[in-house]
Amino acid sequence: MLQVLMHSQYHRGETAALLTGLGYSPGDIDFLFFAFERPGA
Amino acid sequence: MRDAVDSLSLARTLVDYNEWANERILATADRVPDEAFHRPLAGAGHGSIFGQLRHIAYVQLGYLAGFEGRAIDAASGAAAVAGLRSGPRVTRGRGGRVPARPPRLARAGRRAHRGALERAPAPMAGQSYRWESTCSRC
Repeated sequence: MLQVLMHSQYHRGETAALLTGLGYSPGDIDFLFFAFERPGA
Repeated sequence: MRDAVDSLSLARTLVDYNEWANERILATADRVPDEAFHRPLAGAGHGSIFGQLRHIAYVQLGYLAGFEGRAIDAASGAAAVAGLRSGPRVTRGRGGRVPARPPRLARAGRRAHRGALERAPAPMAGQSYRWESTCSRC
């Protein structure tokens, strides 16, 4: 399970950089910001 | 027992984060015009924004299926790929109305993730499970 989650994270990061290059940034999708949004998580 | 409970709690948090991050990437990709969405990009290991998203979708579906001891089925793969976009990029329909977009399909995958987590304790315990590579399809 960790493999699929980590693999996805790698490709999401890559895709986020590509989207940003096109002028459409997804914003910060680091785990930290998820944790800030959901303190109970 | 406590370790097992803590592991499940951590796994849930990581799966929730996966959904959260997927939603953000998909919502951003929705704003990209069709041409750019499919444009070959240097640095895209899977060709384009579309190719990147398709790869992520196939890998996640492939693992989900693997947790359940089966291969990914063509229908769910096709549905996932179709759902990478929310729908036709029409801004104005007849009479100047903004047509409702079809529901995004990624949500079905989210529910599947949660279900698979509950049903598949073996992979979490580090035991082997059947996994068939899906990369050749994407």
